[in-house]
Amino acid sequence: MSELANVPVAGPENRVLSSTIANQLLSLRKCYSIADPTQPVIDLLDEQPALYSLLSEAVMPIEKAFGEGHILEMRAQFSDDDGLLKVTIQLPADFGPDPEIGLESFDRDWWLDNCHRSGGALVFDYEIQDAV
Amino acid sequence: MPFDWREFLLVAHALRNQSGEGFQRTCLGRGYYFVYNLGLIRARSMNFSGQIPGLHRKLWNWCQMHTDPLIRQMGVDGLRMHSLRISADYDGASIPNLAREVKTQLSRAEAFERLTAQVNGQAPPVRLGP
Repeated sequence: MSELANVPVAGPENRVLSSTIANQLLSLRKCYSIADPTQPVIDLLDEQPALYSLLSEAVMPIEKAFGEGHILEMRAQFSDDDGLLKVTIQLPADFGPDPEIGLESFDRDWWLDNCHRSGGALVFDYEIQDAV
Repeated sequence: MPFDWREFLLVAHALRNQSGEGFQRTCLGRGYYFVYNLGLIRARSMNFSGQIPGLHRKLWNWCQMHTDPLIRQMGVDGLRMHSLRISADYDGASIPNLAREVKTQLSRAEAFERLTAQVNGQAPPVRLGP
């Protein structure tokens, strides 16, 4: 068994995670910034097991479409009756090309062939940072 | 006579330049609900049988699982707009670059309308302008 089994994850909830989810979070944190609170993200990863592999595979297509080095933020969103995991590619205010073209390229080259695996629970979008 | 959901797009378009976060958030929501109802009508005509609760996600997931890539694109675009609508209506935190997000949401709504027309074999709708 992994030494990560039953690792408490920092955060207000401090719930004990399964080794699988704990390992997934460790791995995802290498590429994604996970917004607080973490627990809703964990719940969505648990609800839709395919999300982990999709998120792992998405990094290269994102870099191909938008370039390397951008922060990829992951956060959970909830309405009254459903929840989503949203990945936001954080782009600087002076990002050159039209980001919609990057998004179309990402969709065409990868996401449209893989979105069927997500259970309708995963969104990729970009966000332009406010100019300082 | 059934309600024409495009009125929501017209309302969002009319409010887009109003100052005030409430107006801007309303644009995000109305722009999405135009697209949601357009997508729902199309999906129902193709035997989509999803029901509440969670109908929004069920609809876009159904589209994303479709064999027709145009319908899958509807699913991807619709869920993206749903996400912005959740931010607008459920998240009290400030939305970075809100005016830009409104412009993007309305542009995507019109693109969705053109995509749906293509799926339906109809002529593209008249653009609303900048």
